[in-house]
Amino acid sequence: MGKSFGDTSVIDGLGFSLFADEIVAILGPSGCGKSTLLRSIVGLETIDEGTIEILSARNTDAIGYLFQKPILYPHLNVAGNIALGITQKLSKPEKRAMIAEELAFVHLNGFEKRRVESLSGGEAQRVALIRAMLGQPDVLLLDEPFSALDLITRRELALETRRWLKNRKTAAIHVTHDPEEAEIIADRVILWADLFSAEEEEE
Amino acid sequence: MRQTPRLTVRFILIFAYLTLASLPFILALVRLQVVTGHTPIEALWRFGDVYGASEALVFTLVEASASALLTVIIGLPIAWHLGRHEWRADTWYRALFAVPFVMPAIVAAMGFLLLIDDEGMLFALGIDLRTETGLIGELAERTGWQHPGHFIALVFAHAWFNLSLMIRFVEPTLARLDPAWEEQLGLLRQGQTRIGRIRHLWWPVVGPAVLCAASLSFLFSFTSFALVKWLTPFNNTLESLMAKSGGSAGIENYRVDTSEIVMSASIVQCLILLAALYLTATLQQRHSSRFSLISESGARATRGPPNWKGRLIVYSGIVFALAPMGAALLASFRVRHGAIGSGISYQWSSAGWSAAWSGDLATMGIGEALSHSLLYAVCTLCIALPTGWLLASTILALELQNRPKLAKALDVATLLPLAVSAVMVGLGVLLGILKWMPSLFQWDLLPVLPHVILTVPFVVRVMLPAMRAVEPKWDEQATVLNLSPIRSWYHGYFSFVRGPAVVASSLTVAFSMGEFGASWLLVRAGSWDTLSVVVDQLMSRPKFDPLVQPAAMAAASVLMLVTFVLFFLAERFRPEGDGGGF
Repeated sequence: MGKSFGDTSVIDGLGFSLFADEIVAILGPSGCGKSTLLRSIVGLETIDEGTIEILSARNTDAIGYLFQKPILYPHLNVAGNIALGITQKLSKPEKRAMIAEELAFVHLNGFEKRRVESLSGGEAQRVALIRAMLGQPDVLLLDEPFSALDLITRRELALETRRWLKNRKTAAIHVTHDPEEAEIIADRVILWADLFSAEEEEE
Repeated sequence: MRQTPRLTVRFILIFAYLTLASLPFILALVRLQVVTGHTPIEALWRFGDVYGASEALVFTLVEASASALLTVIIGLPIAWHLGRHEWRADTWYRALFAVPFVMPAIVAAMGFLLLIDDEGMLFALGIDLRTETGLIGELAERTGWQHPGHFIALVFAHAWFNLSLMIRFVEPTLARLDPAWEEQLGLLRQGQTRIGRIRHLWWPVVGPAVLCAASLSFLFSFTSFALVKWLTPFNNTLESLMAKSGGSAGIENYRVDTSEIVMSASIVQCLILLAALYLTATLQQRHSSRFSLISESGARATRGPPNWKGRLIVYSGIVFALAPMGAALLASFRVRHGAIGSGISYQWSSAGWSAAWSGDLATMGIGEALSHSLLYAVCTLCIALPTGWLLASTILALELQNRPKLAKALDVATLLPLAVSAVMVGLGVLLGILKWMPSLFQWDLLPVLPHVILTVPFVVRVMLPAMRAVEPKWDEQATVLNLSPIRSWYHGYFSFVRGPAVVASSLTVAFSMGEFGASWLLVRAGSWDTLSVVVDQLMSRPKFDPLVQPAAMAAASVLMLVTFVLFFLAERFRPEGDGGGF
């Protein structure tokens, strides 16, 4: 695929495949175009050349996305934000139970009525992760979601996210500039520069 | 993702609105040209020859300049102390200082009339501004200045009215100033003297905000009508001169002199207001760019609670802000006993309220007048809010599509109604539409048209910054969550502009309900009077009946209370940190 902004070419001749349930980490320096790649996959940017194909196993055609900074709506509390991700038709008690269960999974028991402004960076990112996963996506795109957190929380969350993705058999593309984080979370680590070689695609 | 706006449909609607808004003025000018036989350029050159016009212009310029200066003198120290220190109830204080600006001018006029009355607070202190005896009389005698008391009362009333402009523009600037700037200057040689600190820190930081507020004060004082009508009955401003002449203007072969007055005065006034608006816009831009220099650190906390001087200034300011309104409310319960000239006494009673409510004083009952005002206000809201929303979102869409010149042109076009006062809008409709189509005079909802023209700029001014502040990330998040278009619009956009929309709606209803100039010209007396027109009618009656004044004050109090409720509703929804603007 290829993508330009005006005269500036950001991505040119990039290609790779992701297998079902596989977690891939793409490692590259800041400003190389990693976020643009993810934004193009999810449809927030339109690509100039090439195609992006998702062969859905679940027929949901859904792609989850975790932004660098968790985007939680300030007019809703924690439960309200999580509820936005629920795609099934559920009654209110069922929704409540589901939210409580998911919160317990990430050790945020009883956080349902908390205001989003009162959450720490790690807590907010966990809430955003629950919301993204509730859509039962085929692929979860992680756009350096832990980069603003301290080292210990970053490792904890990376492990937690991996546990969750494996538990739900969800594929993921994680972009980062931190090799250690990439090793913790991913099954396979690809260097940004390698995405532009045809051999990688063939493999 | 942000949807691509359907610009063609938008432009058709906007063109229709701009045509409708400008049509009364174009038709009025054509009508006046037919009656007087002069083109607008000729009318401008003949301004000096028009009876009473030069005197009115001089008086308007002097009173507006003095009012702007007094607003700075009173407002700046209050804003300074309020902004630089930690006050326990700062949100309340800020809201109280903002109340006068949204208060209907006719209520302010009534309040100040009471304060300067020969039974009022100032008279008791030995300051007689109304009949001009004692100190004020001596001033008039020694200087040859006619009616200085009335002039002083008017200028103070304008300063009262515009006080909130100074607080809203200057106080947030001071409150958010990083103390490091001040501390750094204190360590340098230039910061050792007060003049040095003013020159190198305070003037660059707050100067543009002060000038901006002063220029808006000038603008509003220039076009004030109700206050001039009641507080300076012996002097005319351009606005009151036009209002007085408007009734007989625009009729062929009848009182052509009044048509000449209206034509020349409106052109001159429009040019001056355009210049003032241009100045304000330029200063506002400078104010904004200065603003970006400063941080939002907790400056208040570092300076601690205010000292005795700060408390004295702010508390005196609050008394000044509340006094006219309190006086009007009290006077509505104070009924005179005994005939004028023979042993007058006063008693507390609700008889004035009963008379005002039942309409026993040959005016409409305030319940009915309130229902008319509310109907006009709701109709105005139903048109002004969607129109203002459409204009603001189109300006933003043009900015996002990188068409800054077109966006700027539309932005300026929405501001233009501010360059024509309420009386000019009323006259525009009267001369531009009713003189061509007199049958429209039977249409009860006619005052809605000028109210819409006058309130749309306020809606745009409130909504545009709010719309600009909605970051695309909220919309993008909604997109990646696969929400339905309606839920996506609600969570990703509407929930962020809902508060400002309530603020704009409350202000629109409040302005429409309190609007006096255009309604005074257009409302058919006795059939569809608004509450502000009833207040004016009651106060215009001879005061032989002791219930006249309390009934007028009761009507003014109802208007005041409704405005209070609307204003505090607006404040409740105002986004945090929204200091400047309306």
